[in-house]
Amino acid sequence: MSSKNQRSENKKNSNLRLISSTIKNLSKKGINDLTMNDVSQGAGLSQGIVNFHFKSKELLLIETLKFISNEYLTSFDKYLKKAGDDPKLKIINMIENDFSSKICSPEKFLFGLLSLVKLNLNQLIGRFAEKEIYIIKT
Amino acid sequence: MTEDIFSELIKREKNNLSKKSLSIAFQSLIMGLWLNQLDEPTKFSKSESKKICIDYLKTHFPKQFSRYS
Repeated sequence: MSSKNQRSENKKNSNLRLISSTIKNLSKKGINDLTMNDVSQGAGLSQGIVNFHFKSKELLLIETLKFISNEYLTSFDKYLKKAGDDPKLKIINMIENDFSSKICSPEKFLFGLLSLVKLNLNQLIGRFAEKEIYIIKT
Repeated sequence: MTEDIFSELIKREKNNLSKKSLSIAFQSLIMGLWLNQLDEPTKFSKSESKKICIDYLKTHFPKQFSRYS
């Protein structure tokens, strides 16, 4: 393996370890108390590496959410393809996928739920702030 | 995607149910069961959850899902 490929592989491994640590730590500490330090310690990496890969806690949460979402969609596609054109098998396989060990994990579900609430809340606050500024300006 | 699947199931069952309502209820059922694993982690069972979903399908599509358990 070339050194460029090795670096890319190391980066991918570090990302996966950090994402997995984020999911585990969030279920223990909650979204507000979760720190980049918790994540780096959980992954067995230095805090500098977390900051290098994700820059901020919000970015780390977004990337983790993307990871969970991609993992779900990839698995969903695989189960759906197995069903062929039969709608009965399609819906049965959807159920199999949704309650498979890989997808149906309390930590991942909690992460998705809390992140969506938090991110939507931030968007709402942002929209509210924009509206307030607009009112003040006009 | 789920609506398309329900649309096919409705055609085959020859009933007049709404694909949209069935799809919303089905997805809400899955979300509710996922939520249940946070609420009652020790009692939560994946196989029981799958059975609940299949029972839902059987209720609306008895001809097609009677052999599933």
